Amino acid sequence: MRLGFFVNDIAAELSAYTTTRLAQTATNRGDEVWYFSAADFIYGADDIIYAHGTAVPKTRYKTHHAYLKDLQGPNAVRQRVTLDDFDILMLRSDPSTDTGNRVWAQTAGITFGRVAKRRGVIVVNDPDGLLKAMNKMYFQHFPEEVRPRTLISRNRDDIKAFLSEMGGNAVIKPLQGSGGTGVFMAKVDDRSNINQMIDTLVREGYVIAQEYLPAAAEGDIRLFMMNGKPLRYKGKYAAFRRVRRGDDLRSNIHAGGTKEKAVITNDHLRLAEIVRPKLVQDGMFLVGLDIVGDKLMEINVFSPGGLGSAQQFERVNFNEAVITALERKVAYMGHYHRNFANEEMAML
Amino acid sequence: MRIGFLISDIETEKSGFTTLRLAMTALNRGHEVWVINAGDLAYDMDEKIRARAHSTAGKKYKSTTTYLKELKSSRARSERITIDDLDILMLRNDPAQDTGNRAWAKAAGIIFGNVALRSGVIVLNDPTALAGALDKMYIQLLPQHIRPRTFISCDRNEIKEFVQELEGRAVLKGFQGSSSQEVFLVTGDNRANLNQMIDAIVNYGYAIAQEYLPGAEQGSVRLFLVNGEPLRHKGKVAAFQWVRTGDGMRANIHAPGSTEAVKLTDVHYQIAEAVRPRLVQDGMFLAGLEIVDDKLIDIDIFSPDGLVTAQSFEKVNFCEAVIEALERKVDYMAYYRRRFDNVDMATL
Repeated sequence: MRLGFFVNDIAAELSAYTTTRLAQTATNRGDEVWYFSAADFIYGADDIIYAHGTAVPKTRYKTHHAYLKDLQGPNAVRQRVTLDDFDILMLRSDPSTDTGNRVWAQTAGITFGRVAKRRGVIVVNDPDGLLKAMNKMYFQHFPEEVRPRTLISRNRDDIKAFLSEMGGNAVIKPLQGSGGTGVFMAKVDDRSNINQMIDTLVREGYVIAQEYLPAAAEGDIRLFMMNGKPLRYKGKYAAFRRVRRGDDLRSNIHAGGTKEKAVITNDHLRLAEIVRPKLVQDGMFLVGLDIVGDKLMEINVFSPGGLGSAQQFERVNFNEAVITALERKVAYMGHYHRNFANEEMAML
Repeated sequence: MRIGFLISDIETEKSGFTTLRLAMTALNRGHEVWVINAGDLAYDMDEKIRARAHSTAGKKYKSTTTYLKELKSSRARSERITIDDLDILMLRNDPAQDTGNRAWAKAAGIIFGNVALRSGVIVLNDPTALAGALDKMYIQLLPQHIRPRTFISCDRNEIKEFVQELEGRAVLKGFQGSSSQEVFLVTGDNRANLNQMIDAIVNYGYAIAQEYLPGAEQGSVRLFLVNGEPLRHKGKVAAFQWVRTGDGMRANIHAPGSTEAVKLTDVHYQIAEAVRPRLVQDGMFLAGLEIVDDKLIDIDIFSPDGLVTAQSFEKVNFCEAVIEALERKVDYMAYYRRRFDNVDMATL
C-alpha cells in the first residue's frame, strides 16, 4: 500500500516516536511510505492535492534509529507526489507543539486531509473528527460518568467558586492549546497564588478547571484503542503505567517520570467500552486513553505516543498490529472501488 | 422565542452591523433577545452552558444607535442566563477580527455552541460546519466552475510558476489569516516585488494564489442566502454592488469603496444554485456570497454583513424576513419537542 505519515516537522521527529516505529514496520513489510511536514502540501491549479514527500532510500531497516537517520539524512528521497493517489494518509502531528508563529501548522493536516478524504484516500484519524477535538471541550462530549467534574469559564469568580466546591483542590489548564504547558495544580494552601494562576490563563482564553483525583498522585495508565477497541495483540493489551516523579502535575512523558508495566483491569475495560461509541462516530482509528482510577483524564486523538513502551513491557510488536489493520482497510477499499465513508472505513 | 446573539465584544459592536439590526428586529417583534460576548460563556458544573448576557430595558426601538446605546448603558439588564434554555443561538462573531491575543475568541461560539446543541438549542450557522470553514479551503469544496483558478502552497517557486502561468496577473493572500489583510495584486508593474509579497504571506503559513478577474476593478456583488436560497422578501432580493474606490486589493465590504443597487443576472442565480447543495449539507442558514464576473471569490458564513445596505437600496425590510425564518424554525422545534438534527433544522 501507499502510506503517508503527516507530522509537524520531519526534522524534529525522534527515533523513539511511535510514528517512526510504525513507518519502519510498514517499510519492512514492503509498503511504500512517505513522510510530510506541515508545509509540504500543495493544492494544485488542477484541483488535485500534491505534496513534497520524503522517504527512506532503502526497503529494509533493522532499527528505528537507522530508519530515522536515513529519513533525516542526505540520502533521503525527496519527491513531489500526488496525495490523491495514496491509499492511506495517517495524521500524526501534535498541534499543541505548533505555537507562536507556527500556529498555522496546527490545522494543516486536517485541512488538506479533509480534501484528500473526499478524493478517496483513507485519512486516519478522520480529519473531521480531529477538527472537533482541536480543543479540550471534545472531552466533555464523552459520558459524564467517566470524566472528572469540570467547569470552563473566563470568569475568575466562577473558577474560584468551583475550587471551593471541590474542597480547594483542582487542576486548571487552558481550553485551547497545549497539553503539558499551562497546567496548574490549584491547592487550598496556596491561596496566594490562585488569582495569579487564573489571571495568567484567562489572558490567553478560556480556562478548564477540573476535579483533582487523589489517585493521580501515583500516575496514570495509558491504554491504546484501535478501531474503537482496546488494542490487543497476541493476548496482550497495548498499555503501560506512567509513574509521577515528584510534584510535577504533568504525568505525560515530556514532563519526566518513569514507566512500568500496567495491569489492565475490568474498570479500565469498562471505560474503554463507554468511550467506544463516540470514538467510532468520529472515526478515531488510533487513540491513547489516560486513565486514573476509574476516570479518564484525557483522550489523545492526535498523535498518541508510547507504543514502543507498551511493546517493551508486553513483549509483542504492536506496530505490526496497527499496520496490519491499515492493510485490511486498503483491501476493503479495493473491493469497494474507493466508494466508502471515511469515518466508517477508519473504524473497520 | 428566546434568542441569543453571540458577538465578539459588545464594546466594538457598531450600530450599522447586521447583527444589531437583526437583534433589534427580533426585539420589536416581541421576542426575548440577549446579546452575548465571546468571552462571557461558561460550561458549568451541571454540564450546562451559561453566559453573562445583555438585554435592554425597553421593548421597542426605532434605531440601532439608540438600541446599542441602551445595551451598553447602566440601564441594560446583565444576567447570567442558561444557553441550553434558549430556542436559538446565532453565532455572529467574525473570526477574522479576533486576532492577536484575542485569537481564543475565534472558535468560542463554535466550541460552546456544539455543547448547547445537546439540549436542543438551534445553533446557527451549524457550529460543526463552521469549525471546518475557518480557513479558505471551504470555498475549494464548492464546484470548480464557479471558482477562480487557485493554487495553495508554502513553496515559493511553485507559487511563482503559477503566477507565470496566469501571465503575471494574480491575487495573493494568506490561506488562514483574516479576510482582508495581506491581499496583494500581482501585475506586470510590480512583479519585481513578487518575492517580497510571497514572503510576507508564506512566513505566516500557506499562501493562496488566485486568477485575477478583470471585473474586480469595478468591485463585487454581495448576495445574501437564507436557508440555502437567495433571500427574497416582497419580490426583492437581498443584494448590492460594492464599488471599488482607490486601488486597494481588498475586494470586500470592509475595504474602502461605496455601495449601490445591483441588478442581478442569471449568472448570479446560477452561482447561488451551485453553492446551495453544500450550504444545505453544512447547515449554513445565513451566508453572504461575494461575486466578481461569473465567479464566486468569497463566501462569508460567519458574520455576513451588509443586510442593512441591501435594505436601503431595495426598500424592503430583509431583517424581518430573516427573523421570520427563525420563527418558523422555532415552530418546527415545538412540533418535534426539541428532537431534531441541527444541520437539517438550519436550512428548513
